[in-house]
Amino acid sequence: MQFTLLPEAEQTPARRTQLKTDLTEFLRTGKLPDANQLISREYIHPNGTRLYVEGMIFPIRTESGYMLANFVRDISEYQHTQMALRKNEQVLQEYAKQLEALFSASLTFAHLSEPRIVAENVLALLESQMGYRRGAIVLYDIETGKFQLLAHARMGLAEQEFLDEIVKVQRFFEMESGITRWVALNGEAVRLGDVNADPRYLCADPAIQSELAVPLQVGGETIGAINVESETPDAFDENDERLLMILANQAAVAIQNARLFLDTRRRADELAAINVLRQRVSQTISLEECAAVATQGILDATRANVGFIMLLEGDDLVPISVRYRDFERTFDDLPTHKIGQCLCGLAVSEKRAIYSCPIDMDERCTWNECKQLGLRSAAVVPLIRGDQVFGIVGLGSESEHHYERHEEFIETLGSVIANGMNNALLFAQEQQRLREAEVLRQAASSITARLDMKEVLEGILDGLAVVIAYDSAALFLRREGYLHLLAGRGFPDSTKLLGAKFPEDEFTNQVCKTHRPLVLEDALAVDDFKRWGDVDYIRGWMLLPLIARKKVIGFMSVESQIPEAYEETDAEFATAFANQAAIAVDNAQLFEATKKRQDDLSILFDVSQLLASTMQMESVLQLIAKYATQLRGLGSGAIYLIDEESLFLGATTPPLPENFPAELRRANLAEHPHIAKALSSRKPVIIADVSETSLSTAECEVVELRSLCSIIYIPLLAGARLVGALILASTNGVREFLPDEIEMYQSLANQAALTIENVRLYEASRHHASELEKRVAERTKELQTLVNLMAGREVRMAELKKTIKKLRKQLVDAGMEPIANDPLLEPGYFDKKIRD
Amino acid sequence: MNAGLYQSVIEQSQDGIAICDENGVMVVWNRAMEQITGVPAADMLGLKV
Repeated sequence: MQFTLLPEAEQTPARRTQLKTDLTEFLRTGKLPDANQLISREYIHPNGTRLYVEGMIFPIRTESGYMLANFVRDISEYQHTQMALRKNEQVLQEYAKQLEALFSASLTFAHLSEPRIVAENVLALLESQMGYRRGAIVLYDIETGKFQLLAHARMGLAEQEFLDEIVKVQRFFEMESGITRWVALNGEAVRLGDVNADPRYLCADPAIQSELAVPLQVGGETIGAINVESETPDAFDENDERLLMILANQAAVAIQNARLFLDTRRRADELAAINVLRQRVSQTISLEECAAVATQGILDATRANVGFIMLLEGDDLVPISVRYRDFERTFDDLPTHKIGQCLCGLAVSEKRAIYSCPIDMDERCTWNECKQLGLRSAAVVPLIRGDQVFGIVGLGSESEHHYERHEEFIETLGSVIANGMNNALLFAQEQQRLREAEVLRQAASSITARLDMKEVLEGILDGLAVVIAYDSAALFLRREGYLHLLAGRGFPDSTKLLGAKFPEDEFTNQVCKTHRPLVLEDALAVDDFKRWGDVDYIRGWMLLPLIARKKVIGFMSVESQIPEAYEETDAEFATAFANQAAIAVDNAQLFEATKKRQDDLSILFDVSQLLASTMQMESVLQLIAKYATQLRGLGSGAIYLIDEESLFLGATTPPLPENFPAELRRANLAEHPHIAKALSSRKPVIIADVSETSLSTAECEVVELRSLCSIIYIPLLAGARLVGALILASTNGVREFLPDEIEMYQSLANQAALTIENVRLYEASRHHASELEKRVAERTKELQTLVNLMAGREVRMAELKKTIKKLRKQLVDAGMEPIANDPLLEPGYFDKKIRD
Repeated sequence: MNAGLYQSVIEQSQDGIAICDENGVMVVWNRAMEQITGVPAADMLGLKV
């Protein structure tokens, strides 16, 4: 039986013999090597069940020797429980080990701020704790769809071999296959006991037999994957997968935290860079300085190699600043760009930032200077004021840099530069305006203080030279539909032009219509451009309106020998001066007119005084003819008095000979139609040019006799009564009779007419007075006789005195001087006579 | 304690009990022994070891 309980391997014949011998000895001595010891054994039950038993053999002493007692206990259940407990203990120990690994990992990860370092630590942990020597961690960017190899197990490789391996693995991730790639895309773990059996597997190393890859997930989003590989088939079990999953979750959170930390730090750095740029830009005042500081600032902030700023001028983008950083090459020539062309021009036309990487593959980059410079990536941000693009800021790098990934930062920098540039532009414009205002003030001060037209015109030409450079300039005033050239400077022969008049043309008409200056880039190229005088040199030309009281009173032409000498901005600036000049000219004209009016009134007053000083008709007529002729420097004057249908030539200037026959002074009104017209219409009649006017024979004779050119016939009106006509004429050429001049002649004629009428009345009353005196003398004589005859008859005398007083009063009323010392009025005269 | 009581205790024991006498003849092979070893008492009792 003892033999049966032995393990099968021990059930040998020798053992059986040994047992028999031992037993026989035991029965005799009560001793056995294993007696009294609890022995455990496995036992195969005849029914095949494996049992665990324990038992003890012990002797029972009898009188005749020893009996052998054996008890056996089935401890199978106990043994199985023990085995299960041991296994559980092993599992718990494994978990404890895993937990310890995770704990230490989480402690390590928490201190890491670089995703790459977190990943490298995870791989190191996998190798040290789990014994996985091959592994990699890859990140997946859901926005770009690109994979980034974050870390790869060193696998004991040398540096260069390791780098080669990195490049190879990275290339594998860029392919459209692979287990790790699949896991990162699908977010599910994959465990392959035989990699070659899975079509998704992409073979990078033929030695690899099995692979385990689990996703890196944060907040339900897969950000990448961890994979481990083994050269042993079925190297990974569920526990490995579970462990790697737990570790991957920890790593994912740590990597994401590190990325967020990096992102936060990057944002903080960006904000700091933006602030630095804003401060630097805001401390500048000139446009050039601002552009230079801004260009350097954006290079410092972005670490780009090249930075530049261009400003929009019309359709052109003109470079104003270029800076380089850690870059040995420079632009040979950064040309002016055009809107809509190349990346810079597109940023303007599309009003948005343009990014390019790699630039040499970018068909939009058409001007090639960036490619030729060796740039691989570029960003161009439009500079916007209000909603208008006024320039661009560009930056480029010799490495492939995806600036669009930092578009918020780049475009904020652009915005800061735009603000700074805008402020600088505004400041520069303000400065320019101040300078222009000062120039205008200086220029205007030379004209506004003057009232004399000649001085004003010269002052305008002086001032214009301060405002803008010119080779020649002219001032025209509009009068009677013509342009009168009143002042000019710089012409080859000014004397030919000064005082000349020209018809208005399409250019002056346009300026009159628009009230805006007109600029010709090159007058030589304009067929309709009229050249007055010897002015073939004129290329750059502009015509400025002289506007006063909302009317174009004249023009200022500004001329240069240089084509495109003047631009719209020059014209605007010069127009500001022209407006001042127009006011000065207008004031001078008003002053001239007022002064002339004063002079006219003064002459009229003098003439009135003179006329009042004489009552002799011939002298009066001669005075009128003389002063009327001299008033405005005319050469000839005449006064005709009218007597029904005949005219009487009263006086002329120059005067008629003293013995001029009276019969020759008489003329028939019908033979002088222009005089007749003036008299019938009671308005002045003008012959602007005798050579172009139809004249009667008598008129022709007078015109020839006195060499008359332009004639004005003014009716002499004393109230409603026609007295005659005043005729004035120029003798040294055709001249214009201006409205104020005509008005003045008419005033003089009216004064003359009243004087003539007064003289006539005076002559008539004098004649009448003479008659009365004669009658008074006769009457006085009669009265004296009566007094003598009727002495003492005081009553009659008193009546006589009354009569005499009455008569004297009539004389005074008739304008005649009373007789001095009238004895009749002497007190007591009559009494004395009566007494005598 | 009489022999019958011993016999009963041995027979009711949960542990297998086997006893050989001084001559090596199996004299006790209780029920528990039968169950544990799968060998019936009839096969063992009287057997000289």
